[in-house]
Amino acid sequence: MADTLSVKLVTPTRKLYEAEATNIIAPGANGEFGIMSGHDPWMVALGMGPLKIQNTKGELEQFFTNGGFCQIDDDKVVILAEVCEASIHIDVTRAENAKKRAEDRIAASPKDDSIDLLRAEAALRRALYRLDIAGD
Amino acid sequence: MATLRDIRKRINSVKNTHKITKAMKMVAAAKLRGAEERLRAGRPYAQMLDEMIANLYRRTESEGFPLLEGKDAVQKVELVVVTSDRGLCGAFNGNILRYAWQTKHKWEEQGKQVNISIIGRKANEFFKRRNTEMRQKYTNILGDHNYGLAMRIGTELVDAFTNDEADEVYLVYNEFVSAISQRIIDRRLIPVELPETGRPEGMDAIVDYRYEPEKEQLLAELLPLQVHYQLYKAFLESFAAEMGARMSAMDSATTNAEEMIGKLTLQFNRARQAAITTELLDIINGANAIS
Repeated sequence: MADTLSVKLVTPTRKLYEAEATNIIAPGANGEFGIMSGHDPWMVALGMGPLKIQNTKGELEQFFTNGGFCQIDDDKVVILAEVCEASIHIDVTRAENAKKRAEDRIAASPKDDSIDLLRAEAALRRALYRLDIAGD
Repeated sequence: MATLRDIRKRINSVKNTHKITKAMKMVAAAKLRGAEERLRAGRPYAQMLDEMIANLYRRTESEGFPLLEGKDAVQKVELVVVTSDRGLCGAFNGNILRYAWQTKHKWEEQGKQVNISIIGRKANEFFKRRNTEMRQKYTNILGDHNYGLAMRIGTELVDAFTNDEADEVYLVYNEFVSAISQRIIDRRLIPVELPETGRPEGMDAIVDYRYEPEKEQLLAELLPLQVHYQLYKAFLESFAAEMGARMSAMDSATTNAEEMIGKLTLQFNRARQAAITTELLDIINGANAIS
């Protein structure tokens, strides 16, 4: 079909998605963007957040990605990500624990200089995104 | 001569060892399959990463990617040596460590400063015995095939490169060839080697992409991923090779144990027969004496 994208989403540990899709919404490093058929050739760095792929049946498949790269060329989309999980594979208990740990660290940081606030905040953001995506 | 009881004891102990080596062999075989599976699963990623890097590099005019092009002067060489955490795998660790040791001296003869980083307990023991300082040590980390770990170590190495703590990084590890053979691999990790093959055909060089951020920055962000992946792959390869080596080592141990059990059983039966014969003679002699 002419108006679909052929999408490949790969991580070092597995191929997460390889199929046709009608559109993609991805978290770019400079904000969210959407891709549909006929997109210009484009190469873009991804940030942290939800990656949504709408398959040809109209279902929305969600992933959590932490960085990555997306290359679009002639309706072929290749997404490389070092850390990426399908919503059904997100470990909710682990994310909840991570959230709690990060919150505790942030709360304790004014008193404790050994805590890296930026890292704790990044950990909290990751946990919140994971929980959010797994919840849908 | 050994008594019957002694021989029986020996037989039992060899039988126990036999059970253990046999079990270890089967565990190694199962783990080997797992590692091979993971290696296969990572291949599409590796291929696309190679393509993206080659693609971008061809389109950037400016220079200034030390991670790709290297530094002008190489003074400090970093050797990252990957061994196993456990023994009982034949010459697996011995070979790689001997090679690493020779390589270290080779570099030193050329007047370079060599830093060693190790992965695996066996390498730690080896260099400690030789009073060699290790820059970074990672032990008991192989086996859970954690990509995050490769990311962490990779980031550390890239930082060392950027901070001029290392001008080139080499990775020394065993590659899995088959269950009975491993190959020693010594490859440059940093600067990143450009893939020779797998480049997209000349056709799409005409297409120019839009980039976000600029292509130079994209390339600079992509290169560390290659370092992470090469490390991850080396860990898996080394783990697979270790399991292969353990499999064949345990296989020959099992065969040896079987042989030994056979010999001991023969000895046991002979001793038993001798004892019976002696007793019989005693009885007959006794009976003869009475009559």
